[in-house]
Amino acid sequence: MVAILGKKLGISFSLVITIMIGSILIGFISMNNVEKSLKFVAKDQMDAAISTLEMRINRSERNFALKNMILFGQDEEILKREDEKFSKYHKKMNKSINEVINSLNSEAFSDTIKNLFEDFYYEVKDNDKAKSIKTIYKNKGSLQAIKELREDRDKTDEKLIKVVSKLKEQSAIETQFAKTKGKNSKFILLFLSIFALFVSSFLAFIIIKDISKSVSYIHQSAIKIHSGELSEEIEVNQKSEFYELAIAFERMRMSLIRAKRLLDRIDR
Amino acid sequence: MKITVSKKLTISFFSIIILLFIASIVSMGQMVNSSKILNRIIEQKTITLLILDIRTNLTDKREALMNIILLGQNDNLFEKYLNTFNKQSTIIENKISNLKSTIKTTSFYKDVIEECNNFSDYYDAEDELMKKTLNTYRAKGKKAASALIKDQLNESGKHLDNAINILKMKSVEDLIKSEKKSSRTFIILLFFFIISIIAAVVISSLVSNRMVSNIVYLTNAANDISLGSMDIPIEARSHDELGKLAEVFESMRREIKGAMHKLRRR
Repeated sequence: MVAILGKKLGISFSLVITIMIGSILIGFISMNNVEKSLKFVAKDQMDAAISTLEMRINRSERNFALKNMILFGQDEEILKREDEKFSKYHKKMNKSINEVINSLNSEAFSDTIKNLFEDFYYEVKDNDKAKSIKTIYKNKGSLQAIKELREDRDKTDEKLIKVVSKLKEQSAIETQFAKTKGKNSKFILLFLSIFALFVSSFLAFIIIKDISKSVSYIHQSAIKIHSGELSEEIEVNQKSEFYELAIAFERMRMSLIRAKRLLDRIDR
Repeated sequence: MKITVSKKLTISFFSIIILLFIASIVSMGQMVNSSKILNRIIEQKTITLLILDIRTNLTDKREALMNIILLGQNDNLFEKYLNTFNKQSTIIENKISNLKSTIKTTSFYKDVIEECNNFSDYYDAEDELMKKTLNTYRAKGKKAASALIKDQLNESGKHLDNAINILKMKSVEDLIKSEKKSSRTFIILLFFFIISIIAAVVISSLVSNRMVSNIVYLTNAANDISLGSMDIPIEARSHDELGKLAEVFESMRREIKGAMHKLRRR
Protein backbone atom coordinates (compact mmCIF):
# COMPACT_ATOMS: atom_id res chain seq x y z
CA MET A 1 0.00 0.00 0.00
CA VAL A 2 1.34 3.41 -0.91
CA ALA A 3 1.24 5.72 2.05
CA ILE A 4 -1.02 8.75 1.71
CA LEU A 5 1.73 10.98 3.06
CA GLY A 6 4.10 9.60 0.44
CA LYS A 7 1.56 10.28 -2.29
CA LYS A 8 1.14 13.83 -1.07
CA LEU A 9 4.87 14.44 -1.04
CA GLY A 10 5.29 12.75 -4.41
CA ILE A 11 2.62 14.91 -6.02
CA SER A 12 4.06 18.10 -4.55
CA PHE A 13 7.57 17.21 -5.68
CA SER A 14 6.39 16.49 -9.19
CA LEU A 15 4.45 19.76 -9.26
CA VAL A 16 7.52 21.70 -8.20
CA ILE A 17 9.70 19.93 -10.74
CA THR A 18 7.18 20.41 -13.53
CA ILE A 19 6.97 24.14 -12.89
CA MET A 20 10.75 24.51 -12.80
CA ILE A 21 11.48 22.33 -15.83
CA GLY A 22 8.62 23.87 -17.79
CA SER A 23 9.87 27.41 -17.33
CA ILE A 24 13.45 26.45 -18.06
CA LEU A 25 12.37 24.68 -21.25
CA ILE A 26 10.37 27.70 -22.42
CA GLY A 27 13.39 29.93 -21.87
CA PHE A 28 15.67 27.39 -23.51
CA ILE A 29 13.48 27.14 -26.61
CA SER A 30 13.32 30.90 -27.00
CA MET A 31 17.12 31.15 -26.73
CA ASN A 32 17.48 28.26 -29.13
CA ASN A 33 15.40 30.12 -31.69
CA VAL A 34 17.71 33.11 -31.45
CA GLU A 35 20.67 30.84 -31.98
CA LYS A 36 18.97 29.30 -34.99
CA SER A 37 18.42 32.65 -36.66
CA LEU A 38 22.00 33.71 -35.90
CA LYS A 39 23.13 30.47 -37.49
CA PHE A 40 21.07 31.26 -40.59
CA VAL A 41 22.90 34.55 -40.92
CA ALA A 42 26.32 33.18 -40.05
CA LYS A 43 26.03 30.14 -42.24
CA ASP A 44 23.66 30.42 -45.15
CA GLN A 45 23.18 34.10 -45.86
CA MET A 46 26.75 35.27 -45.46
CA ASP A 47 28.11 32.20 -47.20
CA ALA A 48 25.88 32.92 -50.16
CA ALA A 49 27.23 36.48 -50.34
CA ILE A 50 30.80 35.19 -50.03
CA SER A 51 30.28 32.57 -52.72
CA THR A 52 28.73 35.13 -55.04
CA LEU A 53 31.67 37.48 -54.69
CA GLU A 54 34.05 34.57 -55.16
CA MET A 55 32.20 33.61 -58.27
CA ARG A 56 32.68 37.13 -59.54
CA ILE A 57 36.39 37.06 -58.72
CA ASN A 58 36.89 33.65 -60.30
CA ARG A 59 35.11 34.83 -63.39
CA SER A 60 37.38 37.87 -63.57
CA GLU A 61 40.43 35.65 -63.12
CA ARG A 62 39.19 33.38 -65.87
CA ASN A 63 38.57 36.30 -68.18
CA PHE A 64 41.98 37.65 -67.24
CA ALA A 65 43.47 34.37 -68.40
CA LEU A 66 41.59 34.72 -71.67
CA LYS A 67 42.93 38.24 -72.08
CA ASN A 68 46.43 37.04 -71.36
CA MET A 69 45.94 34.48 -74.10
CA ILE A 70 44.91 37.23 -76.45
CA LEU A 71 47.73 39.53 -75.40
CA PHE A 72 50.58 37.04 -75.20
CA GLY A 73 49.17 34.41 -77.55
CA GLN A 74 52.30 34.36 -79.69
CA ASP A 75 54.13 32.63 -76.85
CA GLU A 76 53.10 28.95 -76.92
CA GLU A 77 54.10 28.42 -73.29
CA ILE A 78 51.99 31.28 -71.99
CA LEU A 79 49.10 30.23 -74.20
CA LYS A 80 49.13 26.76 -72.70
CA ARG A 81 49.49 28.02 -69.13
CA GLU A 82 46.72 30.58 -69.46
CA ASP A 83 44.49 28.00 -71.06
CA GLU A 84 44.96 25.83 -67.97
CA LYS A 85 44.23 28.80 -65.76
CA PHE A 86 41.14 29.49 -67.81
CA SER A 87 39.78 25.97 -67.17
CA LYS A 88 40.76 26.10 -63.51
CA TYR A 89 38.95 29.35 -62.79
CA HIS A 90 36.02 28.32 -64.92
CA LYS A 91 35.61 25.26 -62.72
CA LYS A 92 36.01 27.32 -59.55
CA MET A 93 33.43 29.79 -60.75
CA ASN A 94 30.89 27.04 -61.42
CA LYS A 95 31.66 25.53 -58.04
CA SER A 96 30.82 28.81 -56.31
CA ILE A 97 27.56 29.08 -58.25
CA ASN A 98 26.61 25.52 -57.37
CA GLU A 99 27.38 26.16 -53.71
CA VAL A 100 24.85 28.95 -53.64
CA ILE A 101 22.26 27.05 -55.66
CA ASN A 102 22.55 24.08 -53.33
CA SER A 103 22.15 26.25 -50.24
CA LEU A 104 18.99 27.88 -51.58
CA ASN A 105 16.85 25.13 -50.07
CA SER A 106 17.71 26.44 -46.61
CA GLU A 107 15.02 28.12 -44.55
CA ALA A 108 17.34 31.11 -44.25
CA PHE A 109 16.11 32.58 -47.52
CA SER A 110 12.69 34.07 -48.07
CA ASP A 111 10.83 33.30 -51.29
CA THR A 112 11.45 36.71 -52.84
CA ILE A 113 15.18 36.39 -52.24
CA LYS A 114 15.12 32.85 -53.60
CA ASN A 115 13.48 34.01 -56.81
CA LEU A 116 15.97 36.82 -57.22
CA PHE A 117 18.86 34.42 -56.69
CA GLU A 118 17.56 31.72 -58.97
CA ASP A 119 17.09 34.25 -61.72
CA PHE A 120 20.66 35.48 -61.29
CA TYR A 121 22.58 32.30 -60.61
CA TYR A 122 20.99 30.29 -63.39
CA GLU A 123 21.60 33.10 -65.83
CA VAL A 124 25.29 33.20 -64.91
CA LYS A 125 25.53 29.47 -65.06
CA ASP A 126 23.59 28.74 -68.22
CA ASN A 127 24.32 31.75 -70.37
CA ASP A 128 28.02 31.99 -69.75
CA LYS A 129 29.71 32.82 -73.01
CA ALA A 130 33.39 32.38 -72.15
CA LYS A 131 33.74 29.06 -73.96
CA SER A 132 32.21 30.41 -77.13
CA ILE A 133 34.26 33.59 -76.82
CA LYS A 134 37.36 31.48 -77.06
CA THR A 135 36.23 30.34 -80.51
CA ILE A 136 35.16 33.87 -81.42
CA TYR A 137 38.68 34.99 -80.63
CA LYS A 138 40.12 32.33 -82.88
CA ASN A 139 37.77 33.20 -85.76
CA LYS A 140 37.07 36.92 -85.51
CA GLY A 141 40.08 38.30 -83.67
CA SER A 142 40.73 39.84 -80.30
CA LEU A 143 38.65 42.98 -80.59
CA GLN A 144 35.37 41.18 -81.06
CA ALA A 145 36.20 38.63 -78.37
CA ILE A 146 36.94 41.24 -75.72
CA LYS A 147 33.84 43.19 -76.61
CA GLU A 148 31.68 40.10 -76.17
CA LEU A 149 33.42 39.26 -72.90
CA ARG A 150 32.72 42.72 -71.62
CA GLU A 151 29.08 42.61 -72.66
CA ASP A 152 28.63 39.23 -71.08
CA ARG A 153 29.97 40.51 -67.81
CA ASP A 154 28.05 43.76 -67.80
CA LYS A 155 24.78 41.94 -68.34
CA THR A 156 24.95 40.04 -65.07
CA ASP A 157 27.08 42.42 -63.05
CA GLU A 158 24.24 44.71 -62.11
CA LYS A 159 22.21 41.79 -60.85
CA LEU A 160 25.21 40.47 -58.98
CA ILE A 161 25.67 43.72 -57.08
CA LYS A 162 21.97 43.65 -56.26
CA VAL A 163 22.14 40.07 -55.00
CA VAL A 164 25.19 40.70 -52.83
CA SER A 165 23.86 43.91 -51.35
CA LYS A 166 20.50 42.25 -50.69
CA LEU A 167 22.27 39.46 -48.85
CA LYS A 168 24.40 41.86 -46.85
CA GLU A 169 21.38 43.95 -45.99
CA GLN A 170 19.32 40.93 -45.00
CA SER A 171 22.02 39.47 -42.79
CA ALA A 172 22.68 42.82 -41.11
CA ILE A 173 18.98 43.21 -40.31
CA GLU A 174 18.66 39.68 -39.03
CA THR A 175 21.80 39.89 -36.94
CA GLN A 176 20.49 43.02 -35.28
CA PHE A 177 17.10 41.38 -34.76
CA ALA A 178 18.65 38.24 -33.31
CA LYS A 179 20.83 40.29 -30.98
CA THR A 180 17.85 42.14 -29.52
CA LYS A 181 15.90 38.93 -29.33
CA GLY A 182 18.86 37.25 -27.67
CA LYS A 183 18.91 39.89 -24.96
CA ASN A 184 15.16 39.50 -24.47
CA SER A 185 15.28 35.75 -24.19
CA LYS A 186 18.10 35.95 -21.69
CA PHE A 187 15.74 38.00 -19.56
CA ILE A 188 12.85 35.64 -20.27
CA LEU A 189 14.89 32.66 -19.12
CA LEU A 190 16.11 34.49 -16.03
CA PHE A 191 12.64 35.82 -15.23
CA LEU A 192 10.98 32.44 -15.73
CA SER A 193 13.59 30.69 -13.60
CA ILE A 194 13.16 33.16 -10.76
CA PHE A 195 9.40 33.05 -11.15
CA ALA A 196 9.47 29.25 -11.01
CA LEU A 197 11.78 29.45 -8.02
CA PHE A 198 9.24 31.56 -6.16
CA VAL A 199 6.18 29.58 -7.20
CA SER A 200 7.72 26.26 -6.29
CA SER A 201 9.08 27.65 -3.03
CA PHE A 202 5.60 28.89 -2.18
CA LEU A 203 4.12 25.52 -3.06
CA ALA A 204 6.74 23.73 -0.98
CA PHE A 205 6.06 26.11 1.91
CA ILE A 206 2.31 25.33 1.88
CA ILE A 207 2.87 21.57 1.80
CA ILE A 208 5.50 21.66 4.50
CA LYS A 209 3.29 23.79 6.72
CA ASP A 210 0.38 21.44 6.20
CA ILE A 211 2.34 18.35 7.16
CA SER A 212 4.29 19.82 10.05
CA LYS A 213 1.12 21.35 11.49
CA SER A 214 -0.30 17.89 12.14
CA VAL A 215 2.97 16.67 13.59
CA SER A 216 3.34 19.54 16.00
CA TYR A 217 -0.36 19.40 16.95
CA ILE A 218 -0.08 15.80 18.10
CA HIS A 219 3.22 16.60 19.73
CA GLN A 220 1.69 19.46 21.72
CA SER A 221 -1.28 17.31 22.79
CA ALA A 222 1.06 14.57 23.99
CA ILE A 223 3.00 17.06 26.08
CA LYS A 224 -0.26 18.34 27.62
CA ILE A 225 -1.45 14.83 28.47
CA HIS A 226 1.91 14.02 29.91
CA SER A 227 1.75 17.00 32.22
CA GLY A 228 -1.65 15.82 33.51
CA GLU A 229 -4.04 17.80 31.33
CA LEU A 230 -6.33 15.06 30.10
CA SER A 231 -9.41 17.07 29.26
CA GLU A 232 -8.57 18.20 25.72
CA GLU A 233 -9.87 16.07 22.86
CA ILE A 234 -7.54 15.23 20.02
CA GLU A 235 -8.77 15.81 16.50
CA VAL A 236 -7.07 15.65 13.12
CA ASN A 237 -9.10 16.36 10.01
CA GLN A 238 -6.36 15.55 7.56
CA LYS A 239 -6.79 12.26 5.71
CA SER A 240 -3.37 10.75 6.23
CA GLU A 241 -1.40 8.56 8.56
CA PHE A 242 -1.73 11.32 11.15
CA TYR A 243 -5.44 10.63 11.27
CA GLU A 244 -4.84 7.03 12.34
CA LEU A 245 -2.29 8.17 14.86
CA ALA A 246 -4.68 10.72 16.27
CA ILE A 247 -7.43 8.11 16.67
CA ALA A 248 -5.06 5.73 18.43
CA PHE A 249 -3.82 8.56 20.57
CA GLU A 250 -7.35 9.61 21.47
CA ARG A 251 -8.13 6.02 22.43
CA MET A 252 -5.07 6.01 24.67
CA ARG A 253 -6.14 9.28 26.26
CA MET A 254 -9.57 7.79 27.02
CA SER A 255 -8.08 4.69 28.64
CA LEU A 256 -5.76 6.90 30.64
CA ILE A 257 -8.72 8.90 31.88
CA ARG A 258 -10.55 5.67 32.73
CA ALA A 259 -7.55 4.35 34.66
CA LYS A 260 -7.22 7.62 36.52
CA ARG A 261 -10.90 7.66 37.52
CA LEU A 262 -10.67 4.09 38.72
CA LEU A 263 -7.59 4.93 40.74
CA ASP A 264 -9.30 7.99 42.24
CA ARG A 265 -12.38 5.92 43.24
CA ILE A 266 -10.25 3.29 44.91
CA ASP A 267 -8.24 5.98 46.71
CA ARG A 268 -11.45 7.33 48.16
CA MET B 1 19.72 22.20 17.35
CA LYS B 2 16.94 19.74 16.76
CA ILE B 3 15.99 18.86 13.19
CA THR B 4 12.25 19.17 12.84
CA VAL B 5 9.97 17.61 10.26
CA SER B 6 9.43 20.95 8.56
CA LYS B 7 13.19 21.51 8.34
CA LYS B 8 13.66 18.09 6.77
CA LEU B 9 10.97 18.77 4.22
CA THR B 10 12.29 22.25 3.50
CA ILE B 11 15.77 20.94 2.86
CA SER B 12 14.53 18.23 0.51
CA PHE B 13 12.33 20.58 -1.48
CA PHE B 14 14.92 23.29 -1.75
CA SER B 15 17.74 21.00 -2.74
CA ILE B 16 15.70 20.08 -5.82
CA ILE B 17 14.57 23.61 -6.54
CA ILE B 18 18.14 24.90 -6.26
CA LEU B 19 19.39 22.05 -8.46
CA LEU B 20 16.99 23.08 -11.20
CA PHE B 21 17.79 26.75 -10.75
CA ILE B 22 21.47 25.98 -11.20
CA ALA B 23 20.54 24.03 -14.33
CA SER B 24 18.82 27.04 -15.81
CA ILE B 25 21.72 29.36 -14.97
CA VAL B 26 24.29 26.95 -16.39
CA SER B 27 22.32 26.42 -19.58
CA MET B 28 21.88 30.16 -19.93
CA GLY B 29 25.63 30.62 -19.64
CA GLN B 30 26.19 28.00 -22.30
CA MET B 31 23.68 29.60 -24.63
CA VAL B 32 25.21 33.03 -24.17
CA ASN B 33 28.61 31.59 -24.97
CA SER B 34 27.36 29.87 -28.06
CA SER B 35 25.69 33.01 -29.38
CA LYS B 36 28.91 34.88 -28.67
CA ILE B 37 30.69 32.42 -30.95
CA LEU B 38 28.02 32.87 -33.60
CA ASN B 39 28.42 36.62 -33.38
CA ARG B 40 32.14 36.19 -33.84
CA ILE B 41 31.50 34.09 -36.95
CA ILE B 42 29.31 36.86 -38.32
CA GLU B 43 32.09 39.34 -37.60
CA GLN B 44 34.61 37.11 -39.38
CA LYS B 45 32.38 36.76 -42.39
CA THR B 46 31.71 40.49 -42.50
CA ILE B 47 35.44 41.04 -42.75
CA THR B 48 35.71 38.26 -45.33
CA LEU B 49 33.14 40.11 -47.39
CA LEU B 50 35.09 43.36 -47.01
CA ILE B 51 38.24 41.65 -48.26
CA LEU B 52 36.36 39.98 -51.09
CA ASP B 53 35.03 43.39 -52.10
CA ILE B 54 38.58 44.70 -52.34
CA ARG B 55 39.58 41.60 -54.26
CA THR B 56 36.76 42.25 -56.72
CA ASN B 57 37.79 45.86 -57.21
CA LEU B 58 41.36 44.70 -57.69
CA THR B 59 40.40 42.40 -60.56
CA ASP B 60 38.26 45.16 -62.04
CA LYS B 61 41.17 47.56 -61.93
CA ARG B 62 43.48 45.03 -63.53
CA GLU B 63 40.86 44.30 -66.14
CA ALA B 64 40.54 47.98 -66.95
CA LEU B 65 44.30 48.17 -67.52
CA MET B 66 44.18 45.10 -69.75
CA ASN B 67 41.31 46.60 -71.71
CA ILE B 68 43.27 49.82 -72.19
CA ILE B 69 46.21 47.89 -73.59
CA LEU B 70 44.01 45.67 -75.75
CA LEU B 71 41.48 48.21 -76.98
CA GLY B 72 43.09 51.58 -76.25
CA GLN B 73 43.63 52.38 -79.92
CA ASN B 74 40.06 53.53 -79.89
CA ASP B 75 40.07 56.92 -78.12
CA ASN B 76 36.59 56.51 -76.69
CA LEU B 77 37.38 53.14 -75.21
CA PHE B 78 40.67 54.45 -73.87
CA GLU B 79 38.87 57.21 -72.02
CA LYS B 80 36.23 54.83 -70.73
CA TYR B 81 38.67 52.28 -69.35
CA LEU B 82 40.95 54.96 -67.96
CA ASN B 83 37.98 56.26 -66.03
CA THR B 84 37.22 52.80 -64.69
CA PHE B 85 40.87 52.38 -63.80
CA ASN B 86 41.00 55.61 -61.80
CA LYS B 87 37.66 54.99 -60.19
CA GLN B 88 38.67 51.53 -59.01
CA SER B 89 41.95 52.92 -57.65
CA THR B 90 40.13 55.37 -55.42
CA ILE B 91 37.62 52.75 -54.31
CA ILE B 92 40.40 50.32 -53.40
CA GLU B 93 42.29 52.94 -51.42
CA ASN B 94 39.15 53.87 -49.47
CA LYS B 95 38.34 50.25 -48.79
CA ILE B 96 41.86 49.46 -47.63
CA SER B 97 41.73 52.22 -45.02
CA ASN B 98 38.24 51.05 -44.04
CA LEU B 99 39.49 47.46 -43.69
CA LYS B 100 42.47 48.54 -41.64
CA SER B 101 40.36 50.48 -39.17
CA THR B 102 37.81 47.63 -38.93
CA ILE B 103 40.50 45.08 -38.18
CA LYS B 104 42.05 47.38 -35.62
CA THR B 105 38.81 47.74 -33.67
CA THR B 106 38.14 44.00 -33.65
CA SER B 107 40.23 41.74 -31.49
CA PHE B 108 41.45 39.92 -34.50
CA TYR B 109 43.72 37.21 -35.68
CA LYS B 110 47.37 37.95 -36.22
CA ASP B 111 47.65 36.04 -39.49
CA VAL B 112 44.78 37.92 -41.07
CA ILE B 113 46.23 41.30 -40.12
CA GLU B 114 49.61 40.23 -41.44
CA GLU B 115 48.18 39.13 -44.77
CA CYS B 116 46.25 42.38 -45.06
CA ASN B 117 49.40 44.36 -44.41
CA ASN B 118 51.28 42.26 -46.95
CA PHE B 119 48.51 42.93 -49.39
CA SER B 120 48.67 46.67 -48.99
CA ASP B 121 52.48 46.61 -49.45
CA TYR B 122 52.19 44.57 -52.63
CA TYR B 123 49.29 46.62 -53.76
CA ASP B 124 51.36 49.81 -53.55
CA ALA B 125 54.06 48.20 -55.68
CA GLU B 126 51.50 46.96 -58.17
CA ASP B 127 49.85 50.34 -58.34
CA GLU B 128 53.22 51.87 -59.25
CA LEU B 129 53.70 49.24 -61.93
CA MET B 130 50.23 49.79 -63.34
CA LYS B 131 50.75 53.53 -63.55
CA LYS B 132 54.10 52.98 -65.19
CA THR B 133 52.46 50.61 -67.67
CA LEU B 134 49.87 53.23 -68.49
CA ASN B 135 52.56 55.81 -69.19
CA THR B 136 54.53 53.32 -71.24
CA TYR B 137 51.42 52.53 -73.23
CA ARG B 138 50.91 56.19 -73.97
CA ALA B 139 54.55 56.73 -74.92
CA LYS B 140 55.58 53.49 -76.60
CA GLY B 141 52.39 51.57 -77.37
CA LYS B 142 50.82 48.20 -76.76
CA LYS B 143 53.81 45.92 -77.06
CA ALA B 144 56.11 47.68 -74.62
CA ALA B 145 53.26 48.10 -72.11
CA SER B 146 52.19 44.48 -72.21
CA ALA B 147 55.78 43.36 -71.73
CA LEU B 148 55.81 45.26 -68.43
CA ILE B 149 52.78 43.56 -66.90
CA LYS B 150 53.52 40.06 -68.14
CA ASP B 151 53.19 37.79 -65.09
CA GLN B 152 53.42 40.75 -62.73
CA LEU B 153 49.94 41.44 -61.44
CA ASN B 154 49.09 38.49 -59.28
CA GLU B 155 50.99 38.97 -56.04
CA SER B 156 48.72 41.26 -54.02
CA GLY B 157 45.61 39.26 -54.86
CA LYS B 158 47.25 36.14 -53.50
CA HIS B 159 47.61 37.74 -50.07
CA LEU B 160 43.98 38.67 -50.04
CA ASP B 161 43.12 35.09 -51.00
CA ASN B 162 45.25 33.87 -48.09
CA ALA B 163 43.49 36.19 -45.66
CA ILE B 164 40.13 34.98 -46.95
CA ASN B 165 41.14 31.36 -46.56
CA ILE B 166 42.33 31.92 -42.99
CA LEU B 167 39.06 33.62 -42.11
CA LYS B 168 37.05 30.88 -43.73
CA MET B 169 38.90 28.20 -41.81
CA LYS B 170 38.40 30.05 -38.55
CA SER B 171 34.69 30.41 -39.11
CA VAL B 172 34.32 26.74 -40.00
CA GLU B 173 36.11 25.87 -36.75
CA ASP B 174 33.93 28.28 -34.81
CA LEU B 175 30.78 26.91 -36.36
CA ILE B 176 31.69 23.40 -35.25
CA LYS B 177 32.48 24.77 -31.78
CA SER B 178 29.12 26.52 -31.51
CA GLU B 179 27.27 23.43 -32.71
CA LYS B 180 29.05 21.33 -30.10
CA LYS B 181 28.24 23.89 -27.46
CA SER B 182 24.55 24.04 -28.21
CA SER B 183 24.20 20.27 -28.24
CA ARG B 184 26.15 20.18 -24.98
CA THR B 185 23.71 22.69 -23.48
CA PHE B 186 20.88 20.34 -24.26
CA ILE B 187 22.71 17.41 -22.70
CA ILE B 188 23.49 19.45 -19.58
CA LEU B 189 19.85 20.42 -19.22
CA LEU B 190 18.70 16.84 -19.74
CA PHE B 191 21.24 15.65 -17.19
CA PHE B 192 20.02 18.14 -14.57
CA PHE B 193 16.39 17.28 -15.28
CA ILE B 194 16.96 13.56 -14.89
CA ILE B 195 19.08 14.03 -11.76
CA SER B 196 16.47 16.25 -10.14
CA ILE B 197 13.63 13.87 -11.01
CA ILE B 198 15.56 10.95 -9.55
CA ALA B 199 16.48 13.02 -6.49
CA ALA B 200 12.84 14.02 -6.02
CA VAL B 201 11.65 10.43 -6.23
CA VAL B 202 14.35 9.18 -3.86
CA ILE B 203 14.01 12.01 -1.35
CA SER B 204 10.22 12.02 -1.25
CA SER B 205 10.00 8.27 -0.84
CA LEU B 206 12.80 8.25 1.74
CA VAL B 207 11.35 11.07 3.81
CA SER B 208 7.77 9.84 3.60
CA ASN B 209 8.69 6.20 4.24
CA ARG B 210 10.58 7.06 7.39
CA MET B 211 7.87 9.37 8.63
CA VAL B 212 5.12 6.90 7.79
CA SER B 213 6.90 3.99 9.46
CA ASN B 214 7.42 6.11 12.60
CA ILE B 215 3.79 7.17 12.62
CA VAL B 216 2.56 3.60 12.11
CA TYR B 217 4.87 2.46 14.88
CA LEU B 218 3.47 5.06 17.27
CA THR B 219 -0.11 4.31 16.20
CA ASN B 220 0.37 0.62 16.96
CA ALA B 221 2.00 1.44 20.30
CA ALA B 222 -0.87 3.73 21.29
CA ASN B 223 -3.39 1.06 20.28
CA ASP B 224 -1.52 -1.54 22.32
CA ILE B 225 -1.55 0.70 25.38
CA SER B 226 -5.25 1.43 25.11
CA LEU B 227 -5.91 -2.32 24.74
CA GLY B 228 -4.00 -2.97 27.98
CA SER B 229 -0.67 -4.44 26.89
CA MET B 230 1.94 -2.13 28.30
CA ASP B 231 5.06 -4.24 28.53
CA ILE B 232 6.82 -3.30 25.30
CA PRO B 233 8.88 -0.12 25.65
CA ILE B 234 8.47 2.59 22.98
CA GLU B 235 11.70 3.83 21.43
CA ALA B 236 12.39 7.15 19.78
CA ARG B 237 13.49 6.28 16.25
CA SER B 238 14.17 9.76 14.92
CA HIS B 239 15.28 13.13 16.20
CA ASP B 240 12.27 15.16 15.11
CA GLU B 241 8.83 15.77 16.62
CA LEU B 242 7.90 12.16 16.07
CA GLY B 243 10.89 11.09 18.15
CA LYS B 244 9.85 13.51 20.87
CA LEU B 245 6.35 12.12 20.65
CA ALA B 246 7.73 8.62 21.16
CA GLU B 247 9.52 9.82 24.29
CA VAL B 248 6.28 11.29 25.63
CA PHE B 249 4.47 8.05 24.79
CA GLU B 250 7.11 6.04 26.59
CA SER B 251 6.85 8.01 29.83
CA MET B 252 3.05 7.85 29.57
CA ARG B 253 3.28 4.11 29.08
CA ARG B 254 5.38 3.82 32.22
CA GLU B 255 2.96 5.98 34.20
CA ILE B 256 -0.09 3.99 33.11
CA LYS B 257 1.77 0.78 33.78
CA GLY B 258 2.62 2.01 37.28
CA ALA B 259 -0.96 3.10 37.88
CA MET B 260 -2.28 -0.27 36.71
CA HIS B 261 0.23 -2.03 38.93
CA LYS B 262 -0.91 -0.03 41.91
CA LEU B 263 -4.54 -0.78 41.02
CA ARG B 264 -3.93 -4.49 40.79
CA ARG B 265 -2.17 -4.59 44.21
CA ARG B 266 -5.16 -3.09 45.89
